[in-house]
Amino acid sequence: MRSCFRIAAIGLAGLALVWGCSQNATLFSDTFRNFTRGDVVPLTPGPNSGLVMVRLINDTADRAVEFVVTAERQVLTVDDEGNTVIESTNETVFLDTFPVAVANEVGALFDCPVTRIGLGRDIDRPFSEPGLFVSSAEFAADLGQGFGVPSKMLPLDSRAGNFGCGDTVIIRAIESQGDVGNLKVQSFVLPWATQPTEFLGPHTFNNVRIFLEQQVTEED
Amino acid sequence: MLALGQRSEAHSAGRRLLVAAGLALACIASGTSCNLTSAFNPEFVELFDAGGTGEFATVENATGHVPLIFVNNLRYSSQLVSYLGKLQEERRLSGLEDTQIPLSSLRPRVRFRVQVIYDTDDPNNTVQYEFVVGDGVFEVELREEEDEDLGLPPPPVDPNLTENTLSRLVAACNVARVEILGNAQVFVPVFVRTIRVEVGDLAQQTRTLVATDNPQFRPILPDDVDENLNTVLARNFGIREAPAPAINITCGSLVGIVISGTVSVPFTAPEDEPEDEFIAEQSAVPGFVDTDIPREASIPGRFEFLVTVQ
Repeated sequence: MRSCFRIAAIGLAGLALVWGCSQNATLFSDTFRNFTRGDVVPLTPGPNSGLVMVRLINDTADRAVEFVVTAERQVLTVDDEGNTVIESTNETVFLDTFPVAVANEVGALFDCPVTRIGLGRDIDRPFSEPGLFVSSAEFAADLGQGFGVPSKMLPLDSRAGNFGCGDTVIIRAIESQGDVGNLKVQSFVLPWATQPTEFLGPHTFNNVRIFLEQQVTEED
Repeated sequence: MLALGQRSEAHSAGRRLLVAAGLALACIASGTSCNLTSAFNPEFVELFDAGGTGEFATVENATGHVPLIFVNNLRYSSQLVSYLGKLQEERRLSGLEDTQIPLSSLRPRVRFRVQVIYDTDDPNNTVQYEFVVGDGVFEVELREEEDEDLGLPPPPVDPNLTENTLSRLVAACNVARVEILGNAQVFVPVFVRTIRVEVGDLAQQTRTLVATDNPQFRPILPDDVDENLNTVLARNFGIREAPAPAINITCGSLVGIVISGTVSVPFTAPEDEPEDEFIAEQSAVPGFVDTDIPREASIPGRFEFLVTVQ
């Protein structure tokens, strides 16, 4: 009899787990739900935002890492003769991360269309151009005492299908003995097409686009 | 024959089997929704040149993001645009190689530091970032290279003029507070002169050059006020218009920081002012008389901040 009760209790616990994982989840926090289902707040900008997000993760144990992220974009400009031409421009941002929970991660948003994304000012030289700045072990929190490290990561190319407008590109630095700076870079892509389209919380990146458009004045 | 209370091995195995079957049925019934790892892990993109080794890696999804968006709505004053346009025209007429800069659409360069405080128990939960955005043009680019009479020193090379641009940052959840640290700074793209006026024995005014400030980033300062909060010296923004910290930030919301206003500098007749007033007005240069405190305090202009959480 006691065994039957135990089995029944375990079965009920399993059903509760099913219910918690179902659409009407109230058993788990929004944080957990978004981590597993992604329908609380968006994890990708989505196609309507006109943005690409680059998410940078420092997964080292005790190093501060500055990522030098360059996005190559095709923009319309007017030349000296008044003709509209397409120019390739690079937008480079420097983003610091620290080996502390939550502060080990930061991101940046770039307007579409983005042609390529890489590390370093010159993304065509990933094996010689410093793509990251790493603090030495003795000065883990002071990037000023650090040194530049080539990323050895070829740039992601939207024309090759590596990513598209609305996706999240993830670049992670991990410790790797034997590599320069004992650091290694990995790249990932979270496509917007794999994500939910409806969210329980704010549609973050659509709000970003609306906010930016509201700031355009008549003079612009 | 089993003793009382002693179970056979078959009974124990059967009970374990029933437990496992119960759990398995529960998970099967839920389909994939019960996958406790992220059900849609980011795809690993392996980018190696030829001969690279194969590798597989996974990374967890974030729990959410808080974008920090900075919008620069600054403009140069019409007087400053006219002055820069005049210099650009002089350079063009002198035949120096030049690309015409569309001065009327220039955005003044502004920078400030932002502190992000994360909502964790870790004592190291604060990170600072520097936002920099705007055009980095300055006077020396437009001035004639052979103008040795000015004797003006070359402006310093500041990487924040053309590099380090950042206006859209994405922080990971959860963010507790976002605030601007210290004073924001605006780049003044011209040399600013300090002129001293001395009156001689015959009431004749003599203007002499006291100092020349290079094009540089200048801090945006609040007005000086008395004990009743009345303005006694107008500087760059009212004390009630100071940028407020962003609080009550939920995961998924965005923090917007907007700066509006006009970058301007006072103009005055140069130290070698000609006698004709009309000519003196036409040759006005960025500067102020050293006793004119309000005009000096007005540099680099008048501004407003807006910090919103949406």
